[in-house]
Amino acid sequence: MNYKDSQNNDLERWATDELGKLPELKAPESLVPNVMNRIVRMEKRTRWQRPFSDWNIFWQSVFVSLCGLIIVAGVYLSSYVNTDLIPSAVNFSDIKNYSPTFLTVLQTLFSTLSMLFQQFKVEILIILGLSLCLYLICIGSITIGFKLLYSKGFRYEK
Amino acid sequence: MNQHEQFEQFVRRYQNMVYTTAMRLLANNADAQDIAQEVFIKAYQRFPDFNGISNIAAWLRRVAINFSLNHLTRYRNRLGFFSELSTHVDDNEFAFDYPDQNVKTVEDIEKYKIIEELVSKLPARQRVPLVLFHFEGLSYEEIAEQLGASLGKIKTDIHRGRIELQKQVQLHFNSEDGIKPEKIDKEILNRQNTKEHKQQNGLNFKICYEL
Repeated sequence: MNYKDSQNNDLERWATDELGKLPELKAPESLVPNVMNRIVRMEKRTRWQRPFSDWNIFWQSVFVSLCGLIIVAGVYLSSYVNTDLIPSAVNFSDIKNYSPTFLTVLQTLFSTLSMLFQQFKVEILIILGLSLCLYLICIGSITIGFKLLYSKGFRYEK
Repeated sequence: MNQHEQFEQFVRRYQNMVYTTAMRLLANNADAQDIAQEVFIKAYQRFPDFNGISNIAAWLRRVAINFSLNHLTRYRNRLGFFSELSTHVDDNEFAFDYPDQNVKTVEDIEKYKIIEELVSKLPARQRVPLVLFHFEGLSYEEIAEQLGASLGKIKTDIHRGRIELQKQVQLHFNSEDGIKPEKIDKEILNRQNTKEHKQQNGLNFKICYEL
């Protein structure tokens, strides 16, 4: 061990001794009332105002099951969609002559969207509903999965 | 005893530990109180599961460390931009207090307060790894992993922090007589509370540790 190492060790020992003596600080008197007030305020919120991850596992399961039922209903209803309403591809050849101003582009976009929505109202709603439900099912399943794993002793640490 | 009362007892039991960890890492009284509240709110959400956690104190300490480091990272820009408005020093004058049962003499209290103040005045890039090593008992490797920095850098910063701390302590304490009763030397405090020092506190942490 050279002189520098010895100096470093002395310094580390000094810091360990000096800092090791320091006791815990006293928390401010207001900490406990502040924490308890926040908890009371949190608990006063209704269920739908709380984050999904804070719901208890029963309500999470009910919610995910409900979304599953909606998906099944959506799939069942989709067989009733009239496929004759689906148009052939939109012909954009006429638009080439238009000056490509921002307003024209916006008008075309909105008129196309409006046309699509009028013709495929049910289908679009079904697709949006299915996407939302799939998203919620994924989030819900992950949350429930973690809760179950957590109750069995699984710990996630960075 | 209902769950609220049980939890209130739990908070009273661990409040000093959580607050101390946050205060030493953040060196700011208001921020430390905020982080301590967040830690206990998190604990409340897990309170029914606490039977499954073998060492609750270690869990709380870990959460307090993570929250404090996140806070330093999240608000690093604001720390830099608003450093001139910071009330850091005034706030902290009232932050270093000790529970009666932990301290024996008035001299002890004065000495501990001065050392705590000096630690809090270190720049964040030195203070944070120093606190994690000496107070929280993390190894160099764990600190490097936690802060996302190289092992060499962590060792260097801790070493520099110790040197700076020793220098400051020696300025205040006479090694033969033990404690020097005067409060911290105003000149050094003024030098450390300059705009540059405050900016360093926030921005150096940003530059050094990209968490």
